[in-house]
Parts: sequence; structure tokens; C-alpha cells
Amino acid sequence: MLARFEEMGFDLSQFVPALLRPPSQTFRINTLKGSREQVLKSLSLLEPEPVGWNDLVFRIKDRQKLGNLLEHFLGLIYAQDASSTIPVTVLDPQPDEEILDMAAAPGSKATQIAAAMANTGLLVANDVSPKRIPSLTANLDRSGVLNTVVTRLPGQAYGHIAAERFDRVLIDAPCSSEGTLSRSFRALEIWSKSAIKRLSATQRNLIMSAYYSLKPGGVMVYSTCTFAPEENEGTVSHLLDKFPDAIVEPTDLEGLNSQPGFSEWRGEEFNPAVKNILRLFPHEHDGEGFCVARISKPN
Amino acid sequence: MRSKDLETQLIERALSSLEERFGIDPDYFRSYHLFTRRNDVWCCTHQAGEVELPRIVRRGLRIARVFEHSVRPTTNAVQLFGHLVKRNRVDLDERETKRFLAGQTQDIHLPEVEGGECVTGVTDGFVVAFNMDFALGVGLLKGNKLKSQVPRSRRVIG
Ligand SMILES: C[S@@+](CC[C@H](N)C(=O)[O-])C[C@H]1O[C@@H](n2cnc3c(N)ncnc32)[C@H](O)[C@@H]1O
Repeated sequence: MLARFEEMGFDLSQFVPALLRPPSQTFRINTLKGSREQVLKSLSLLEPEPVGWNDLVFRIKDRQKLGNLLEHFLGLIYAQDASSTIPVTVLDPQPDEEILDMAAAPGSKATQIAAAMANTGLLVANDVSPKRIPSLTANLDRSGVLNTVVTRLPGQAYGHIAAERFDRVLIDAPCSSEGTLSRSFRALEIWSKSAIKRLSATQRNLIMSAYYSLKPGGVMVYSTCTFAPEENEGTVSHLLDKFPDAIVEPTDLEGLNSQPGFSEWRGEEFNPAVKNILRLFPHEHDGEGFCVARISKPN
Repeated sequence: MRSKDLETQLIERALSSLEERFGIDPDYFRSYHLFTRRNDVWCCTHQAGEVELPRIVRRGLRIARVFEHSVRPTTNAVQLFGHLVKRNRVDLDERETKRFLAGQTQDIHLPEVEGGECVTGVTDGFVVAFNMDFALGVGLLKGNKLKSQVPRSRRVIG
């Protein structure tokens, strides 16, 4: 893993300590349960600082057991890493739309989407894993979500069963999770070159299925919490090879220190449009490692 | 599968009981899709109620369980619709709130009782517990004893 990070151009003496250091704790205000003002007043002792790119996401200085707070019990806040709030910020869900969250458990982003939709329209929160569905439904419940249908299907199915149905789709893909090492070493247990290969094959199927399920004029976001170019630029390039008219849109979020997508990896040149992918690295940005691409389907 | 009539009856019973006991206007729910599963009433948006997909695990939120002689709204529902509650609400202080969140039964201080009746109209049965403006969940009141109905999975201990 370290050799690959070096190959990606990182100075390991800076990158590795940052990767292992827990980022600041952050929470997102759930506007389905209370107003921003109400929650900020109630949590003023924590001295929340806005992150900048999303006015419902805040950092706190001192570490807290957020799960023990009354505000958490009430579903007024959702403890969520700063980077993890970016895919939905970039997706920009709107009220009354039909949206698919293709790999939704445990629901950090599904609850964020439902709140952005103001509990209107339809959100399909899907996950293939029967073991992870209970955490998804529990988070939807605590967040007061009424617009959501939970399904348990391989995301690959959506391209067939719901072709051109959704206004927006999120694929927060299963990945090698290299960006989450500060939270847990689980990624190390599953990490291998063959795992990256296997995951990238799944991701290619998921991104294609998502694109099929998108209405013309629709928007999708592909995200992972890993650095591996095969799982990020490689997956998006694959979609662009099959659908050259898909557009990878530039994203510009206020106060976010991000990098563009890699142009090549181990001799493979990616489609030039992947430079519009947003890359987040822990030595430059206070949050987990993440990668986010906003892709639109022409009318 | 239950007949539409039975389902409508169960929903109407739930709504009229929520109105009678808590003053919740049933019209509030008319803009949503309501349906039943066994003795539970569920609520979701119309789009979520109508969409057909394979392997649906659930739609929306469970809002109430209908018993033979009473209807108990769920913790999740009162946290969402608490602002509509006009009757049978009890206000808890910090200490009482902690015990309530932990799922305990406790003696609570109710406002002055005049001639055997609580002045705020709180009567034995299901009540909605509040802390400040926030609805915490449902409790079962008998005299001054409040038994928290917060489900095990939602309890906060410590
Ligand atoms: C990164 S996690 C999703 C996190 C979630 N979006 C959130 O924000 O809480 C990836 C998820 O993909 C699911 N998954 C793996 N393979 C899948 C497939 N083929 N179709 C749908 N979901 C899949 C896993 O069960 C896992 O829950």
C-alpha cells in the first residue's frame, strides 16, 4: 500500500501521519427535525465552526461522544465525517425529485439526501447487504425520513429495472477504503491488489447501471473513500469509454482544499475529463480521504 | 393480504385516537400515504407509497401501533410530529429526561392537581414527553409514574 502511495506522488513522511490522525469531529444538522438556528443554539457549548462548503456541516474542537447527546437522540444532528458530506453536497438533491442511492447503508448520505429533498418526492435507498440494512433503517428512523423506500438489490440491477427513471443517482461505491485508516484498520485486513481489481470490476458495473437508470438531463455522483486510481479515475474513464457524451462536471466548493483527478496511472492514460474529479487528501484537508465525481447525462 | 376496508378502519382508528388523546389534527396526515402492516400504521410520501420495485424492505416510517383499547404513537413519529401535540404532554427536566432516554420508569412531578384532575389535562395512558420544545418520545403514565416507551435500540445510557 505504501509503495503505491509513493507512486501516486505523496511524500510519505507527511501523508502517512495525516492519514492515521483522526480528522476533527463533524456533524451535520438534520433539517427534517429542527432548524439550523435551533440546533446551533442548543449546541452552542460545543462552539461549532462551519466547514464553509455546506452551511449545515460543522466542526467541533474537542472530541465528544456525539452519540450520547440529546440532540443526537432527537435526530437533530448526524455525526458524519466532513468528507463524507461532500458527495451529497455535490449531488445537490432537490425537493420532489426521484433519487436513487445505490449503495446506501448505513445511511449517512441517504439521510442527507432526504433532508435536502425536505422529505418530499422519492428516495430509493438500496444496499445489497442484508447485514447492513438494519443500520440503514435505524438511521432513516432517527432522522425522521418519510420519502424513502429501502430495497435490497445488487445495484447492478437498477439499470434494467429502472432505466432512465431517476433525476439523480448517488453511487457511494464499495471500495478499498484506504482513506478511512484513521477511523479503523479494517481496510488493512481486506486490502490487496486483487481486492482492488475485484472492487474496480464491481464499481464499473455499478457506474454503468447508475448511468442507465438516470433520466436524460439527470446528474449522478460517483464517490469512494479510497485513493486507488483504478477505483476512481479508472471507473469514471470506463463510463466515458462506453458513453463518450457523459459529462464529468467541474465542482467548486467554497473553502475546500482539493486536488484534480490523476491523468494517468501505471502507464494507463485516463480520459482527460477525469481531471474534473475532486480528490481529497488528509494531509491537505481536515477529513478522511475521498474522491468525488459529478457526472451528467445530456438531454 | 388484508382487505382495503380493514386497513382503512385501522388507519381511521389510529388517526381519531391521535386526535382525541393528543389533539393531533388528522388532516396533517392526509397529504401522506398511510398504510398498515399487522397492527402498525406506516406513513410515507405518495411517491414512496406508490413506487413498484423488487425486494422492497420498507417504505417510510412506522408512526403508531394500534392496541385493542389504545393507540401508541412511535418514538420516531412523535419526534417528527411533536409540534402538533396539544394534550397529554408532560415536560421533563434534565434529570427526568436522562432517565426517560435510558428507558426507565420514574416518578415525575406533574403540575398542581385540582379536585383529582391535573390542570393541564394530563390523564393516565400514553403521553408525549418533552424537554423544552423537543418531543422526546412516548411514555405510559399511571398516577405520577411515567414508564418510558423508548425502544431498546434508541436508548441512551450514561
Ligand atoms: C461505502 S459503503 C456506503 C456508505 C453509505 N453510502 C453511507 O454514506 O452511509 C458501500 C456499500 O455498498 C454496499 N454494496 C456492496 N456491493 C454492492 C452492490 N453490488 N450493490 C449495492 N450495494 C453494494 C455495501 O454493502 C456497503 O454498504
